[in-house]
Amino acid sequence: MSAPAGLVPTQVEPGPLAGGDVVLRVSGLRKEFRAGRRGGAKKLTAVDGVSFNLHAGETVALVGESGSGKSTVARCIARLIEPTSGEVVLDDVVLTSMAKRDLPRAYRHLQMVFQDPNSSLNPRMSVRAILEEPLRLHFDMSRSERDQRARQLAEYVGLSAQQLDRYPRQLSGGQRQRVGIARALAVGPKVILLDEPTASLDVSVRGQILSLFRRTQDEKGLAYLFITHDLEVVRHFADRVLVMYLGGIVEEGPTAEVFEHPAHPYTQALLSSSPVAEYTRGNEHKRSKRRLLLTGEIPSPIDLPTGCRLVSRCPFVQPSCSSVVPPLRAIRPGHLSACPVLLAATNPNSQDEISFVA
Amino acid sequence: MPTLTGAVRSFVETGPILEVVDYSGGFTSGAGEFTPVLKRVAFSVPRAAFTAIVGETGSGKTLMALSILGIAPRSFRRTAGSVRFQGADLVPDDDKAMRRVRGAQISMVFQDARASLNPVFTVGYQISDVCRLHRHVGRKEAWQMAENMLERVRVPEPGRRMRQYPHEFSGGMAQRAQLAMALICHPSLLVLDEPTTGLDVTIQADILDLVVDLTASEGLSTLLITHDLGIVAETCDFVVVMKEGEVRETGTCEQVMTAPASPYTQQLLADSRLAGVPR
Repeated sequence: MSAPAGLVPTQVEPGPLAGGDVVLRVSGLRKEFRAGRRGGAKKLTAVDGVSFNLHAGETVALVGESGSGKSTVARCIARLIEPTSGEVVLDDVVLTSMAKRDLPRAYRHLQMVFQDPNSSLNPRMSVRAILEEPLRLHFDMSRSERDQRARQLAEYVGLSAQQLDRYPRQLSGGQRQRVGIARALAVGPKVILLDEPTASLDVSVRGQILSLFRRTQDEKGLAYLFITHDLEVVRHFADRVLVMYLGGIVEEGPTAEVFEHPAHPYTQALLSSSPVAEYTRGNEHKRSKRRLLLTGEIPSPIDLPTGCRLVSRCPFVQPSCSSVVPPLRAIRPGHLSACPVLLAATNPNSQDEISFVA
Repeated sequence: MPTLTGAVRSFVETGPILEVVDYSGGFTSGAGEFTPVLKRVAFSVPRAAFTAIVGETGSGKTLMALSILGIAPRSFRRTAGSVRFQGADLVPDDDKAMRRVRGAQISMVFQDARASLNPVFTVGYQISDVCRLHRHVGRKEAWQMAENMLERVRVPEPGRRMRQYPHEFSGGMAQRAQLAMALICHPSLLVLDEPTTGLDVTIQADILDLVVDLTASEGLSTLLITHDLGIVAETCDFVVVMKEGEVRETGTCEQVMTAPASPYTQQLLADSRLAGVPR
């Protein structure tokens, strides 16, 4: 799928990208931090063997509570921090084994939009300078070409030509996020990592920004890894969803399937806790249900115990849960869960373990 | 949990606990220019019920809440209107009188719990301080009351937690501590300003469930400031919708959520449900 003329600079050949091909492959991603007093010997496992594929034109949501490691996954993929082990492959290029100095070139196909546009835009650069910087880095363009591109980009994301000469502080939160999106689009990426891009926005602006993401994806065949805790956005926006808890994926599947038939206790708790803007009389029912589902808070990721991470909070816990980390197993094609207890209770025939990079 | 009809009945029988009457005011800039922010805001908070003020950034909802407690920024000036609490006017400019009301009869829980607790005192000291001030009880007795209150807001190991400092609390636990501080003197009105913004959904659900339970069991009147219509739908009995310093709509939660009258509320609901975003 090629980007519309005018948006991608002419000297850029969009890669051969048939809709649905794997553009980003993450396998066995691990990230450990040193923790404790004075850089002590304690090990904090933020991401513990995460694997998934991202296809062209697809939106995959990565959901989980703070401390689940979802932002660390994105940062490891972009190598803003170095993963401890694991492999990230972007379009046949192994990002994880690339030398640091070669990385900027690879970023042409992988861009990121951050949660807080206040801290991810340089306050001393005008919008124009922010948009022209990646063009200068990646392409050999004349001044007038860059200027023209910057104006096209601004127009594309819904900023006026006058706003190009403004500074981030002179823009509203929604406008700043548009600048962040335009900057990510400037180099014609194939994958954009969206790290909570709508978390700080009012609902009216959230809708506009999501519509912009959608239009951009439809026109350019972009793949999004959408990190968020807003489950209403996930329900509406994502094709597939990955649920993370304490560094590991506990459930994944097509969005509608996971929302209708959540197969992991943590996913069930998350869904029953998420407020929905619909008036229902039976609130007490929902409340008592979620009280049954989960107790306490997410434990510390330092020196994790063996076995399932949810053991300390789970109502369905069995003695076997604490022995090994339960692997993801298929419930239906494409829908996997790491809870053998619920799996056995609902579908006793589906016990065969499958590797989930299918 | 009071049913909707119960809340409506108590409203009819005893009158509202708080009434904001045509409240207007704004900020004066350094150059002496006056910018109106609140424009004839009028609504009432029924007794023993859960009322929400909902609005987006800049709607004036937080400023209105701060004005009720007389803690609006100094540059804010009231130009008209009044706040009536239990049938009598509150005089926000009379600091001495307001100090007797705040914490004892009306108390407030702020958005960022860890930022609103004092980092250099233990949590136990800060909670017991409130009832030593308003209840004139001894140190020991106040400590015990505070510990009991921490237990009521479902903080595990309250005895140990009392001696800890705010930085040792997670966001959710700190919010419970703030709630304990707000409730220890058994106020009749609890104002919550975005109490769960920035917390995870499971923690948010826990805190809101707790507030709903306490509201019901203590017969407390609660005013919740939020931007999240999902929270409104799941917790509230009455709703006040604000936009640009004006009240755009008031009604029962059911009315506002199912048959909104104002175009702005309709838009806000559509946006909350992501109605305009193509699939």
